[in-house]
Amino acid sequence: MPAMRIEFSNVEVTREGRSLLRALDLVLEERRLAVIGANGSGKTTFARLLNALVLPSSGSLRVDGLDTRRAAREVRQRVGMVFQFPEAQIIQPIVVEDVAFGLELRGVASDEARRHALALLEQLGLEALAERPAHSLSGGERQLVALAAVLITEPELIVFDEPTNQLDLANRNALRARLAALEAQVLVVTHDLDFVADFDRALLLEAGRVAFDGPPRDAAARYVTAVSAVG
Amino acid sequence: MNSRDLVAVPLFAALIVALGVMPPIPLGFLPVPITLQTLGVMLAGAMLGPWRGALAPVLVVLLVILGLPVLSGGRGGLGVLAGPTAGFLIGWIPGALVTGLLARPVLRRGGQDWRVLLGLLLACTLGGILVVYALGIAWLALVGGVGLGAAALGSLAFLPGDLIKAVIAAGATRAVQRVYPLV
Amino acid sequence: MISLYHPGRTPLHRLPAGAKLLGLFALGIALFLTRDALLLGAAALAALALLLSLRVPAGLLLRQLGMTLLLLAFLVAANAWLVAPEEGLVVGLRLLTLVTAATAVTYATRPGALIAAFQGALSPFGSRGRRLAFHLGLALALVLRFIPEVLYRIRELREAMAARGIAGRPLRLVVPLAVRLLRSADEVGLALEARGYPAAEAPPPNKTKKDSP
Ligand SMILES: Nc1ncnc2c1ncn2[C@@H]1O[C@H](COP(=O)(O)OP(=O)(O)O)[C@@H](O)[C@H]1O
Ligand SMILES: [Mg+2]
Repeated sequence: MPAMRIEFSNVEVTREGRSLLRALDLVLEERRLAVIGANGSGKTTFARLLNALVLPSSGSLRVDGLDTRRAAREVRQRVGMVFQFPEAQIIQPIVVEDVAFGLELRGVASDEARRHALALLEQLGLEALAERPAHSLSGGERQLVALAAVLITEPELIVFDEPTNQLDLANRNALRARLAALEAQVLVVTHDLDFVADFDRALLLEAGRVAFDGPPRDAAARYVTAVSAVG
Repeated sequence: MNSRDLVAVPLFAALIVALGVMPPIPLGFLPVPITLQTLGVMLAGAMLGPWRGALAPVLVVLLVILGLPVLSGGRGGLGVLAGPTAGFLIGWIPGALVTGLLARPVLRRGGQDWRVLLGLLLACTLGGILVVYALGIAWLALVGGVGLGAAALGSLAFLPGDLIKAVIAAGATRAVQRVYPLV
Repeated sequence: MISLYHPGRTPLHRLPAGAKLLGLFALGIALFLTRDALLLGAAALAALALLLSLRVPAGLLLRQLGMTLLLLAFLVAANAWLVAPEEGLVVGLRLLTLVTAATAVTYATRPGALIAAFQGALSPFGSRGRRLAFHLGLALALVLRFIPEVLYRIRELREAMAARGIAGRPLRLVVPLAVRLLRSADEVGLALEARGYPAAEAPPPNKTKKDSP
């Protein structure tokens, strides 16, 4: 699957008179993208822009040529998002129903959507979770179910918002291996620098601006310097 | 209805159900204990507004019909709706509606703290108590064959508890409005 | 949350859900058209036999019906005292029949079958009906998904308050609870949109019956 071209032209996001993101002028077309930054630096806002959940207050954002403001529906069909708190993402009470839900929203009949969901869960080695109530899952399991629920619609780009925050080391490493195996383009928002060490490109956000843009290793050095300068 | 409303309504329906799981407080001579569920009904009306607020108890009633034990004490099913106290349950729907209709202008106008609180208390009392009781008592009198007066007398035992709930609902709505935009 | 449905293969179990609901409705009207104590007594016995034929454990039945039976006894006594003994009998038998029959229907009908019946009733209304049916199913699923979460949040807040030595003032619990619920509605609403809601066209309803929602 080729990577999509994501084009920010002078994107600004303001809320309640505050500027959350400013002067973003970027073209992203790498297969593995990382966005790092401290708490409150605008990472979640950045992630949500990509799937048209947040629209630019000024400027424009194109995902594979589609303006997120005009073609929000198409953009969402092609960009999947795993939320920072995956419990927010789970809509249906039973795991397999939740995984099937994305297909149902796209007009697939329930029975067929359920069959696909079971097949996908099996493929991911999660079949044991299929009939479990979603609320009874552990943090790691929840993350994987949220990922399955996104994968089922075969998005071309998957955005992860701080995926490792609630994971122990084993689950974190398992998720990393799973990400590496994904065919889709991936953008990970995180402050777990090591997690994205072998990504193609990293952006460092500071107070809503891109303070660094380049290989993850150098971004990491810059980030650590900035944090220790503050601390 | 946008996606946020589509979620807020079931969320408050779940709140009404969850408040019924809290251990009920036995009170008075009638064999129906006090529960916090009507607090949830008042909160739905005051915080979600009349229409979305009324839909929350609609969902709870639907779950009762489906046979889920969503009422206090783990009760549910069609037997509740066929019983003499069904009016108190159905009354939640217009109760939340009226609470929301009365609370909305109070919240919009704002102003001095005590005025807003008083307005909200009035909304919760009229909607969450008066309307609910009116339906409950009328139904009880009708199917139970006892007069309105006797039915009302029997329901009086619940009034103190419900008034406390109205005070809590009004205070909570006011406090929440400061940190989260309502209506 | 587990429904009250009690599995079985009795005739009542096998009747279509819509028919059971309509039957109950008709029974309700019929019961108020007669004052014949003998007829009402026979109806009450039939309803009781129906309920007992489902073989629901007595403890469960008592939990569902206990309070209603007490209230019924109270109403019978009040009627006998205030109006006439026959009046007490008529009122008591009527309500007993209706409540017993309704409880029997609940124990013998899967929630999924009832949802399907409601959604089926909406199907003559074209795409609007389909939309409503879809939203109805989604809203009910969301309630069931949120119940454990709300309970968890209540427990969490209570523990947090206890840990800080703040004892039970209900306002202190209700305010943060409501704020969390409203914020989480925003978040889940966003997630719903991220996953493709609103659907371009309401999806077709289930063809097979699900066990419970
Ligand atoms: N809807 C909003 N209205 C006002 N401020 C917001 C809103 N969303 C986020 N913010 C603020 O914008 C800043 C960046 O938020 P966010 O993108 O969530 O950062 P991060 O994910 O890096 O922690 C934070 O200070 C946050 O409080
Ligand atoms: Mg964030």
